[in-house]
Amino acid sequence: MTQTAVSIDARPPARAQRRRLSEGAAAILFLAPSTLLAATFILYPILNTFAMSLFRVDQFGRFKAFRGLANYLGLATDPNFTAALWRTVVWTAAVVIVTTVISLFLAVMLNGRFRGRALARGLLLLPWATGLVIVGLLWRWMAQPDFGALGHLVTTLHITDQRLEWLAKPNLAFPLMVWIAIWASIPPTTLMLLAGLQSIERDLYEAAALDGARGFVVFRDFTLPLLRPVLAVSILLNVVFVFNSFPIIWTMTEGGPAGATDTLVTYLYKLGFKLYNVGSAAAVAIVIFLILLAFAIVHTRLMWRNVLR
Amino acid sequence: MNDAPYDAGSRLMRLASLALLWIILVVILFPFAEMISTSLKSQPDLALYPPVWFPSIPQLGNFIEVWSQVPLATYLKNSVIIAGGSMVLNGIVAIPAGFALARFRFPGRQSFLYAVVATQMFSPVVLLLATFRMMFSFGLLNTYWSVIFVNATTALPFTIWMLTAYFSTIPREIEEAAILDNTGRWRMLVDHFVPIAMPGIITAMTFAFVIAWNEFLFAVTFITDQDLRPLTTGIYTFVGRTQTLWQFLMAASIISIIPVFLGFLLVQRRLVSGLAAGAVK
Repeated sequence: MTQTAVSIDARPPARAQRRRLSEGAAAILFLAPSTLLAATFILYPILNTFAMSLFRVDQFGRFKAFRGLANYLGLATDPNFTAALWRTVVWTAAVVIVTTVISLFLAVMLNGRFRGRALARGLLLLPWATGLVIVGLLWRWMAQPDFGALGHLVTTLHITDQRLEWLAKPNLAFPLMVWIAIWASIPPTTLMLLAGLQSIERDLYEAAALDGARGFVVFRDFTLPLLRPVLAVSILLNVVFVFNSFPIIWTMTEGGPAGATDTLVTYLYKLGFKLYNVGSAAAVAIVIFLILLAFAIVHTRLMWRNVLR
Repeated sequence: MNDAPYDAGSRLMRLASLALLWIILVVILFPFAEMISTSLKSQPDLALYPPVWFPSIPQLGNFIEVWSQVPLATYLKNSVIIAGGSMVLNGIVAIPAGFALARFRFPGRQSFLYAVVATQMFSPVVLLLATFRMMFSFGLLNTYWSVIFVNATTALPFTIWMLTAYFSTIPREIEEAAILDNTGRWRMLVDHFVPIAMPGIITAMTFAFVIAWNEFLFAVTFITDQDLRPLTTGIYTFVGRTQTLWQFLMAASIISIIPVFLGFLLVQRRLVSGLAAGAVK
């Protein structure tokens, strides 16, 4: 370190100055393209959406009349909105909690040695690689009431002999979609937690074994505390992804029947692009934004503490 | 790689855990078996109840016929252009950013990193209405550009984050050698850092490609022209017409999964640790 510093200083300063920009100026140049892209397609749209949420806006995005907070008040009194809001909370909580528990188990297992481990890991990439649209369509086919695999499975297991209209009944469709979202979230979560486990030093396990800790105690007292930063990141990323998930619900039911399986995301989409109530849709967008902003603050704090020293 | 040594005492627990592991894996993979089985069925096989796993004569021809049943070649071409374009645009802006954040010391660096992390939390759907309005007024609806811009931006916080983490791991000597040669910063990046950081760059770009390849919401909103649709929305519009030909739908799905699955196999380890970047240190 010291040696290099000396050698840099040893060069004629005037020449070095002329040749190179200061680090600050160079940083501006290197960061400008990404900043420009983010400003155009993230920052501006958010400000614009906020403005739209205060107006009546037609389907071509033209501002018509100023409405103040009327769009927001309209949402607050719309039972479909409040239902969608609660459903989104249930959806997110159920998917993230179940996903995390199962993924944690899988990751701990896959971190150990057993026959077929490489195969198991490779196979987990398959659902991850499958886009959610295809996931949705695949399950829609399996939920087909007459020839679908799900109906056959239920009959074979003697749960019921009835012909089940999976997607026409909200009390069947919604739990099914929760399960599909869990099914789709497990592989990436498992692989992320596995990466975290692999960064835990082997020595620690040996030390734990010397202390006489075994089985579940090792997991509780050594693995879990060390895994906490990765666990926190994976939970928060999952919260955001699941909260925002559009394709599964859209390809299965489009939020139907009659909005009974809508989450905020599909509710917004229908409001903005089917009913052309753009101002109110913008208000929904701002509500989503504020909810996720709360998560973003928690997430950033955690990342800040754990990552950026 | 650290393998957790197993406790020999609880053999029964271990067997039970292993059994549970494989049960979960089978449940996870079951739908793919269904997908493959369906893709090989003939139309009458599809309507059999109870459904059969192995069609009497596997219709391998489905994988050829699907190209004429669905405009699959068009969708595939559009997906390649959109995902490739998003990846290239993302790379052009993310690589210099990651490099600067990892190697330069300047005021505001911490805040910029902070902003990158916060942006990961943005919801595409929040941006949908305003970006639609923007594309409409620029006349970019029903163009590849509309989705390329948005997809490249969506992946940006993740790729900048991954690249910053990767560039940070490169030893300082590389930089010092370049400084001694009196190389400009841009040349330093292109000639010295990009070749060394290639594994990290490939991983980040795979991620950007896959985000765009699987994207649905913007594509379904911005692109309504049948000839410009990517695989996601193209396959979706194929459903729900009078009678859905599920065998072709499943064949088309399999074809669309293959490139992504291969890409993931290629970069799996780095992709995962890249996503958890830093938290895994």
